[in-house]
Amino acid sequence: MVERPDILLEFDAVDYSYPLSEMPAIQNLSLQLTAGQKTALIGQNGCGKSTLFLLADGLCRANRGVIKSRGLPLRHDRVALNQWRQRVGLVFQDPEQQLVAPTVAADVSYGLCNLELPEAEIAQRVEQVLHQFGLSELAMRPLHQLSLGQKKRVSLAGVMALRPELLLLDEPTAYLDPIQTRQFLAALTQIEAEGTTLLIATHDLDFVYRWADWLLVMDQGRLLLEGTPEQVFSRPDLLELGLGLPLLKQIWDSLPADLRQGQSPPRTLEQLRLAIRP
Amino acid sequence: MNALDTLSYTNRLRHLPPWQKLLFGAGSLLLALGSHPPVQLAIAGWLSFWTVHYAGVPAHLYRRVLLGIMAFLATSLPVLILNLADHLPADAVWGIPLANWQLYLSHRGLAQASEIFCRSLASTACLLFIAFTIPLIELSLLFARLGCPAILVELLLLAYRFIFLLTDTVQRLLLAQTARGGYRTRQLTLKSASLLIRGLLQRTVERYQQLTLGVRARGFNHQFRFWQPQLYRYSQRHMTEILAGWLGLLTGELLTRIYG
Ligand SMILES: Nc1ncnc2c1ncn2[C@@H]1O[C@H](COP(=O)(O)OP(=O)(O)O)[C@@H](O)[C@H]1O
Ligand SMILES: [Mg+2]
Repeated sequence: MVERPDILLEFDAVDYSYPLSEMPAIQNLSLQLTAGQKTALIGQNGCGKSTLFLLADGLCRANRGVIKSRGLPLRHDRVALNQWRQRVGLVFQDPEQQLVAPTVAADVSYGLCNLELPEAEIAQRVEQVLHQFGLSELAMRPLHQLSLGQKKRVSLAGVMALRPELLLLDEPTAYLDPIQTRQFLAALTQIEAEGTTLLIATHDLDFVYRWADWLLVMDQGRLLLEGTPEQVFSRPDLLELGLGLPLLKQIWDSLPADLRQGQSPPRTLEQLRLAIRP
Repeated sequence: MNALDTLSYTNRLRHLPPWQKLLFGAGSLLLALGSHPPVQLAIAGWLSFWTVHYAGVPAHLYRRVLLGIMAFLATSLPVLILNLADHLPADAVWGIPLANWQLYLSHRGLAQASEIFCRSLASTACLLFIAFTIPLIELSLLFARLGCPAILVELLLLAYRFIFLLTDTVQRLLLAQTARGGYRTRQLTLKSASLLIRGLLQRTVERYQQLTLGVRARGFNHQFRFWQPQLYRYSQRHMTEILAGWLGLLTGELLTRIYG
């Protein structure tokens, strides 16, 4: 067995079908996530993004193939799973799905209590993470009184309290308004700064184009292609999937060739402005 | 239910430790149960003052809830104080003949009624103070510390979380049905209601399955354990007022017993 300390998650020829369903949800899927690399996962609804996350967190068991982290395979006994889930955090698309406690602080403490940490450490970590995500004011609020954006932040805080090295986010900005989205993305920037590697499934191509170092494109349970955003969005076969293109990419492609000549495509508005300055 | 829940988290006595508020409410309740009407009225006034003035519960809301409960209790009062006899006794204040019988209200009945009224008013004010100022969650955690079995408290907390998930599901389904004309006629209403119940069952099972995934993802250990920060500030000023108030009420009660 080769240890690969920089590969935080690896799928090797994984198949998965839901019980009682004809179509496999994941087919012969192989991928590698490198530590420190911002990776985005895109694909149409139903292509298997959420299923991939469930597999990666050990919540479903692959029918075939191996899932590894740092070269070590995922084992499905209780102790091994709990250790795995401490290192690989999962934030569901719908926050209701993972909020269990009656109040914000209690919910954030839930994963820590399950680790049976000493109370002083739990208290210290809960307070720190509440502060980090701007939730200190809401600590004693019951969850059903929060807005969706706040619930999202609570579910993120509850996972980050465990200090995972890899964080899987399933459509984190779905249903959020622009302000809530901005707040959520700001929280992500902080998480990256602390050294947690992110894998984000999303439909927001503008965000992907600006943010990601590496892109995975799924279709019907398979990994269709992967590469840097620039490589992926230049592929003609991507258009057939009907995912569309990032706005900046479209603008850039529609500029006259002499303006673009010799420059790499801009990934932010600022870069675009600099690139076309006369 | 929702207004009460919200207020219990946003009231101005939020920072007082729950035990201090429970002590005040429960202590005053005991006093109310063992004292005479004048003292009971004083207790009702004092506790209402705390709820409306100190805790900042809107007066109109408080009045509505208090009157609602008192009106509900009042419906059972006639049975308790009206008597039926074949002749009008000497201490009757009022009576009407009913066939061969007399339905009458006696002095004793009247005194009894006012006693019951005062006692209900005082104890309602005490219970409302507890309900408006202590969130149910903190109340149940307090019960846990007072020796209530942990499993009961956990169940209570899970039920509390689930009630809001359930009402949320009902509201969504209802809205969807109403928007599409599901309750236009009585016949449709019956049909929609049965659909609602079936939909509710199905969605609840789905939600339960999803929540199970979420709970497992967070390292479920066959036990629900949480930690709560203690952000309360004990207030000596409030405690002094409570003790002084109780002392005054006890003195009043003694005086009514001696001279009353
Ligand atoms: N609980 C389930 N039971 C059976 N089939 C499911 C279940 N959840 C998802 N699927 C199917 O698996 C496929 C992948 O779904 P999913 O992973 O949710 O896709 P995505 O997250 O990309 O939208 C879809 O065809 C979907 O219908
Ligand atoms: Mg999904």
